Amino acid sequence: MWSSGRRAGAATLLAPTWSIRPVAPLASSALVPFVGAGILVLVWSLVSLRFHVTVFPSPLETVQEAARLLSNAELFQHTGASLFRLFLGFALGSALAIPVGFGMGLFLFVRRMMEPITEFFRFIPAIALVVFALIWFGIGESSKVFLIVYNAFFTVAMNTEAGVAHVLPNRMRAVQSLGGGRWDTFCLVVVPSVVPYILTGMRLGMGRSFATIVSAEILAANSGLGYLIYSSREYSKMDTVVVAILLLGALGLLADRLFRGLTRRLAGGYLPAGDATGS
Amino acid sequence: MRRAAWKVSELALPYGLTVLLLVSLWEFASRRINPLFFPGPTTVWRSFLALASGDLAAHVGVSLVRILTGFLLGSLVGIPLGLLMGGIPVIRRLLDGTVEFFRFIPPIAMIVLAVVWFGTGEASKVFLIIFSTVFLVTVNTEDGVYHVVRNRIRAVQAMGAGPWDVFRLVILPSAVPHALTGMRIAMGNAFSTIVSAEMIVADRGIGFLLQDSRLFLRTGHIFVALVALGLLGFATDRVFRILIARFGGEYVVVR
Repeated sequence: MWSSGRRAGAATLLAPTWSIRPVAPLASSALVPFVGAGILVLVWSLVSLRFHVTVFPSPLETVQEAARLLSNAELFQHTGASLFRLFLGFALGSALAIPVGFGMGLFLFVRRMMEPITEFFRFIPAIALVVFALIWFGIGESSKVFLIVYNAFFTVAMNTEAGVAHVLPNRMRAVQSLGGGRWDTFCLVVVPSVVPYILTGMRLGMGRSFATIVSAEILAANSGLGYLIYSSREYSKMDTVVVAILLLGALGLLADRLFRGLTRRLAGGYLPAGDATGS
Repeated sequence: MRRAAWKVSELALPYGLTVLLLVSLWEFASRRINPLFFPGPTTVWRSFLALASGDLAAHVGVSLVRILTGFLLGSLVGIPLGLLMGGIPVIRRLLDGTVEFFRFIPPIAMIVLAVVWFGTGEASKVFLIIFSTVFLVTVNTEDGVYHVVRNRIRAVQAMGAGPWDVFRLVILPSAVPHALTGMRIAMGNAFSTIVSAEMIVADRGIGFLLQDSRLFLRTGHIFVALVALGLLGFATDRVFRILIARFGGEYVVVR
């Protein structure tokens, strides 16, 4: 895509990507995304003019509420509680899933034995297990951590398995022709090739884990962002709700970018010709 | 596809072994644990019979209608939006950041706002499903348009095609498998969202059945609801896989 000094008319501005016309300079300006966000905030303000803060808080009211929440550490405590559960469950779930995924990818019999289990359980949303999590693990931390473990396990295991299945045979042959045994092939080719897939599985599982922890905290907790959202309902504090929602979006985005960065860093040369990190 | 090549006789042994192992483990465990905590196969079967003759179908139907309504509305918004964003640079740059941000908001976090805005009835659930669907479908459709093979466009243009022909003959068919993939992922999320939403505020649906059985500690009923969810999710996922294979055809990106 190239831009020229030509003046932007409406026709060039709206030219599709596949058009032969040059892209208007305006479209390539770094300010455009901020204009988009600006329009959104403007619409948000205009709509909020018609409603009370207890129904539809304005951007200004939301910012004021965010400042108030930040000043009394309440927000930090709830965010910390949610993140702690997420990371603990996520680390445990991945630690369990990676060996299982390798087993499924490497040994046909293991895969066939595990398949009925993974194919069935991965369609049961983690939150549907909240009742059993509460019965088995009580209302404390362990029930929430259990749900996140469950959530992370299937996504990470299945992506690990897919990674093993997609190891390039020529890479293995290359190592073997240089005299590498099975163990060498595993350490030098299979593991590094699977790493990007594992990280992709973790990235996808992270998004779902955010949704699960919020629902679990709404249903059974007395801390965390989900709890903050649901308890604010009783006082009609919709501004608090909006702050928590925006914070969740920001945290989710941050986690996603971290995983993408990690994938690129750790797996650079091992990415297949396409893009293993694509969503 | 790897699995298509497998013969039934090859699968029967490992699959049968796993299922047998699981069920016997389940039966064994349930005999040593209080059935209130962990109902055995017989308890679950009795619950299934009770629910099947009662309102299991009604709850499942209510949840499915909510999911399908929201899912169709969300896709109806998401696909054109994705096509526009993928095709027109200004629109992409205007909306990309915003869509990308909203994509990471867990839909269930919107439940309090949904109830305040749309009440406790159907509208709030449909809104949540639209919210779970629209951004994923938009992002995937956009991705599909954006990654169209340039030479295909050039080939059509060399034959004298205008922008509309390029869109109709190349862009749209290349974007369809991506849009369907977005819809398949969105469908999984929609299930998760509707169950949470129904557990929190509803008087019907699978989520309500779970929550209601929890209050009365009818753990057998909970197991039945979980199995129903697993089967529904599996079935819808297969439908999308078939659709992708059918309509994606030669346009599917080989991975």
